[in-house]
Amino acid sequence: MSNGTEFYFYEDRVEARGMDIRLLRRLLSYLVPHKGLIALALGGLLLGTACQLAGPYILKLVIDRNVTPRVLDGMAGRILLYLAALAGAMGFLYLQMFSVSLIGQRVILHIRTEMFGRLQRLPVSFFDRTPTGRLMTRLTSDVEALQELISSGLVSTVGDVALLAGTASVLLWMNARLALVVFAVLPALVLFVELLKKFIREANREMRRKLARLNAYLQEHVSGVAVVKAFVQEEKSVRGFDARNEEYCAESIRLTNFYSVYFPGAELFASVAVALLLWQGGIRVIAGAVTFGTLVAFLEYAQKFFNPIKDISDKYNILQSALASSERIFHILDMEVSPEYGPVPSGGGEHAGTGEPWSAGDARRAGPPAIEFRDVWFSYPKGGGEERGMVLRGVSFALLEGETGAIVGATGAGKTTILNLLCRFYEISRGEIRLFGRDVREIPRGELRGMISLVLQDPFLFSGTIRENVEAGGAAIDRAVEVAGVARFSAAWDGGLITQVGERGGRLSVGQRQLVSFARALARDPKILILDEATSSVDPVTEHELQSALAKILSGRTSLVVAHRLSTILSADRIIVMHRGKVRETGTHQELLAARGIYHRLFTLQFAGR
Amino acid sequence: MSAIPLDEVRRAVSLVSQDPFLFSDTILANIGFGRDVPDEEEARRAASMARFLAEIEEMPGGMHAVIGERGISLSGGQKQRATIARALCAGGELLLLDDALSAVDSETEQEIFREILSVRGGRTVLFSTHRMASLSRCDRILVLEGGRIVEEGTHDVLLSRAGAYFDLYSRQMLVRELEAAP
Repeated sequence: MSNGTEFYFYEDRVEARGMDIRLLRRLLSYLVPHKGLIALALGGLLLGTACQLAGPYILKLVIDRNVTPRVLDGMAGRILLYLAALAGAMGFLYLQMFSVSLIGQRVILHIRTEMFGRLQRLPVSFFDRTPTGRLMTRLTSDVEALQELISSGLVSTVGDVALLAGTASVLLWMNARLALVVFAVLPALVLFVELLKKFIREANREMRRKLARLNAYLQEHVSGVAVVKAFVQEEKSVRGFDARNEEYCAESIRLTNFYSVYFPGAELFASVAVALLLWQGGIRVIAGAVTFGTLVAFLEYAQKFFNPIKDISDKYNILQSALASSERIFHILDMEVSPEYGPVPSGGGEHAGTGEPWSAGDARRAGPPAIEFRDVWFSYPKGGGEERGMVLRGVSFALLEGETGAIVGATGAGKTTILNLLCRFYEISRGEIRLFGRDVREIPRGELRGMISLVLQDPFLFSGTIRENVEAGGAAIDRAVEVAGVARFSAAWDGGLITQVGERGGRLSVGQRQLVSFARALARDPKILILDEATSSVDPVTEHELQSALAKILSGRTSLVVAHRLSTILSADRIIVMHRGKVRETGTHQELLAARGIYHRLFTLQFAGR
Repeated sequence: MSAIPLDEVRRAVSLVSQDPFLFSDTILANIGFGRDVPDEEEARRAASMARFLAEIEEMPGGMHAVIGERGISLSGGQKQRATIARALCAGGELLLLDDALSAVDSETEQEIFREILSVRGGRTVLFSTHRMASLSRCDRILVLEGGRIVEEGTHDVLLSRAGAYFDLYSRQMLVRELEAAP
């Protein structure tokens, strides 16, 4: 039951975890293909930083060589140089930012593609137990967290460090004593930043938790609105929402508060540094130990010095949540794909099945049977904590080429399971399934799925046109729409085959959807057609259309049908009666009726009196 | 019915729908959902009638165990019994069960029905089901086909009439017989 409670909200699970070097290394491996761009980004970064650092120094030169000694000579050149340095800083910064976001987008593109590709190859049993909401979160928010890390985290951290180291060296080189005056503020600033960042981090985490609580509550109470109404608990439900909403709001305000202390506070430290500089530098300028230009340059550098310190601790947050996300992403990427995507075991006999006593007395066609089950045992993989018993218990039957086999039996007898196994959606526990004498495990996936077409009980159509949906099955579209009767009903519409079917085919009627799914299955001109007949009832006209389409589709084609319609059962060459995971009877309708066994009873049960 | 204020209608009716929906909260809060303030004693009584109490007591935290997303996940049958307990706890005069015990084995279903019917007092119970074994206790059975009532009466009367109900019943007996086959 996929009700709302299974929707996952992951934000609150982003808990602080230590730096995981292994994880980081794997993340970095995604950057390797973009070496050129990374070199460009780093180059831009270093040159941009150098230009930024050059600015104040040129300022010093203008003051000390021109303004103070009242010399005009060379002043224009220096000023132009100053402008050039600033323009260069801008240009290189642009280069860096552009290439970094390019890298970020490409890496994300790659990861998303890789994830989707992996998802497509995971076994059906994985999707049986994983809620769709969770997978959506992986493909969206988790990937976005990674993108943020790459585009705003990694490279700009390098930039911050470069700027910091560069400024420090220039200061020390220009005047070690004054540099120490600037550095004197550092311990206090770092302490302040770290302390506040600790609060901010905690408030941030708390806020995300509150938001997740709010979202979960909202989601649950929207999907459970019928329950709320039925028990007249609207008020209580609103009260619950209000409480969570206010909690979240209060936490957001707390966080904003920290930030409003943080930025002005950090500014204050910079101002203290400036004051100290003016004091110590002023004394030295007056004493003639330091030039006026040096003091001005120092004041400029001091500003640049403190910005990266403020930023760096921000980056730590981004890195942490990105690491948590990447761990979940890698978890999916590391999942084992379905066995049918693996290598095909060699040595599989092409026609190993020949010579077996598969069907004495029926020599209609030579060669091995098209479909053969040999003592197949199967249980669905465990999931959801529930023990499941064997669904198939030693199933054996054979179907010749061109024959139509109808599987009948009560609910839970294992009919649909047989179809699933034939497509190799699950691996059998014991026994063998052979197609034209070959074990399905030895047939490459592409070939296997290429020779089988499957029509599901609930025909799933993708949004797009009718034609696109049929095309998804194969190339023989024209014949397929003709035989399946799709051409007939769509001809009445303006768009014909290029009519949009709507989301999940919602604009078509149930019967039309089924016809389209027939056409899709036929478009491949499959060797074997597998059909899980829908049980839903449709109006008599549609029913007639479906029946005549089915008759055309099945005639002369090897097909295995889980049959609910009397007409389908009657037209089958061979009826396979399933009961509690076992084949209990096989034969034609007449033979089975005459035997007066389970089929006879099922038949009376379902169709008597109609 | 349209003359009665909606709140009053819904307070009088306790519904158990086909799809058991529970909130990610404590068992107590879920079972006592129909009350403004959940009462543990009442919730226990309701859970016991729904044949759920013993399992609750085995859970860590008992009645205060959190279920759903961040807590214990219940099986389909447990969810259904929890929703029945919730409806019983709400105490409406009319109890509606919409095929509410499909994931519960038929023996437990019988027991739950016995409980509900024995203490109902003046309470009216209306339930829809595909399983017919529980129907023999009912005062009145309505047989629906294609949106219309085709037959009405007690189990015995309907059986003796050999109509739609009889058909359904004998088919189901046949299915049970088939299911019981080795």
